[in-house]
Amino acid sequence: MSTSITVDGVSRVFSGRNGDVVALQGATFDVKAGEFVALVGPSGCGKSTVLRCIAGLDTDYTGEVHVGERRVSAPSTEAGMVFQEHRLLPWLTVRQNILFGFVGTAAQQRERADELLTLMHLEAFAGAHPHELSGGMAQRAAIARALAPRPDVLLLDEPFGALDAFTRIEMQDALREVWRQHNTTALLVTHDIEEAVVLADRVVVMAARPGRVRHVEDIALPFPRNRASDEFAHVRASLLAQFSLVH
Amino acid sequence: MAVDAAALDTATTPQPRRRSRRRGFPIGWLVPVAILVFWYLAYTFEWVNPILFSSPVEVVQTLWTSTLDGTLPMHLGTSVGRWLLGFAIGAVLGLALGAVTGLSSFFERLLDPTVQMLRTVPIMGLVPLFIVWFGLGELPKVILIAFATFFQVYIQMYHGIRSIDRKLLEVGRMYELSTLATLRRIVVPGAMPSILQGIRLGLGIAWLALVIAELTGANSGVGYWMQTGREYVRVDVVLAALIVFAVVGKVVDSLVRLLERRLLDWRDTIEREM
Ligand SMILES: Nc1ncnc2c1ncn2[C@@H]1O[C@H](COP(=O)(O)OP(=O)(O)OP(=O)(O)O)[C@@H](O)[C@H]1O
Ligand SMILES: [Mg+2]
Repeated sequence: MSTSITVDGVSRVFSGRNGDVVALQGATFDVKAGEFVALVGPSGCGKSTVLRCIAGLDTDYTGEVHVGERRVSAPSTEAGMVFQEHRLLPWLTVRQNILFGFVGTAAQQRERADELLTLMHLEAFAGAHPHELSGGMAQRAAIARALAPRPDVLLLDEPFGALDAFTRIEMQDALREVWRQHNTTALLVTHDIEEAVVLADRVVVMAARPGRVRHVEDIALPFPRNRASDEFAHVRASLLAQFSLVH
Repeated sequence: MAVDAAALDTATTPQPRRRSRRRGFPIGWLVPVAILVFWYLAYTFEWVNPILFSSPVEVVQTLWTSTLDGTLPMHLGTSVGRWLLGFAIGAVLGLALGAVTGLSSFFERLLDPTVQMLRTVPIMGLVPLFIVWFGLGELPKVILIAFATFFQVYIQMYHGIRSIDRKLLEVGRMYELSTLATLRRIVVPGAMPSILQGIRLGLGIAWLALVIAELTGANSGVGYWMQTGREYVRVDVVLAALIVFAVVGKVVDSLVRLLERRLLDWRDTIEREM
């Protein structure tokens, strides 16, 4: 099952020693049920802040955030979150980490873990601890953990930011596949335009100071998308043009 | 990257497993053995005054005979009993109070300054006070040991909780963990390295406090035995008692380290290479 996300006029101000920072000002956009949307924008434009508001981790904002019919006021297992750093619990094995938020009988747990380990190609590392994993494997385990309770929406905050180009491409393909199989709504924060064009049905472009939504672009390219095609280059160029307007 | 690609297309990547600890010649024993040899030579060739020193052989004999006649086991039993009782009381209080100040800033502001102030009191200075207050029985000794233990354990517990990554706590929030579940599943395991460290340091300092307590106004225990050796100028007894203290201290320390390694094998630190 999937659910829509609506962000309506969300503003968030951080008060610090050096005065107030307007991280978001009236940010408005939506993600339809089952859609894959990418959120791009320059560093500091409030991408993480929006995502934390949607996740319910940050509630000190004005405006409204809805996930489905529910107005978000606290974190919920309806939403699965993948952070920029993998945030696996270092004392648990990969299998235990994946099952961290999964509730079920021992048999259900075993089945779900096996399923996700296979899906993310982690079978050989089920018993390993996070420090024994490469960056890409750790991030795959983190995605598996977010997926385990079958969330209605999947929120990802630059999950591949720390990976090298090759691993990143593998992970992008894996993510799109996982999203399709789970039939969930996905919102992916990234600063990589190409990543947005590869994965998303729609791209939301944000601008900084104050953080706000600048532009929304439909990506009509069919899947699987060929990164080397002319159409791809064309879409990426037009998005990049949006981006440079932003600065 | 290479590992990653392999993991993606085949499942044959070998399971990463605990590396076996390097075992070579136990060079850690070289220095103690050298000291023993030097001691023996110094005694045999009378480099030292034989009245003020005994030979290693004599000390071993003393250890042997006092073990056989039951003196040493009796004293050691008393000492270990005091030590563990005092340690247990101090550790439980330290863990409890450390958890309270670690988890609540209110209690941290209320109690931590007092604890930090008391911590600087040298335990030697408390001996006369405790004797005046509690007499010469078991009570002042156990309290002294508990007192010394408390601070070590308290500080490690407090720091262990405070140094837990807030980012991991957010993971718990995403899964709507209750406060209790967060404690059990994130806070306690996260603080465990620090807690075990506190227990190890606490056992060590409790052992020291035990010696201090037994050297001042006791009528049993290894420290008391040592004291009688001093009175009768039995250097062999003093040295034998010192060896007992050192060996028991080391054995317990090794046991706790073993426990640490078993409980904390998920850690990726330099310590595990040692
Ligand atoms: N906890 C905080 N306290 C104070 N200021 C904050 C806090 N979190 C974010 N900010 C500020 O809010 C603004 C937006 O931050 P945010 O992390 O949402 O940016 P971002 O778009 O995710 O950037 P990046 O791409 O670098 O991750 C920044 O100016 C940042 O300094
Ligand atoms: Mg960010």
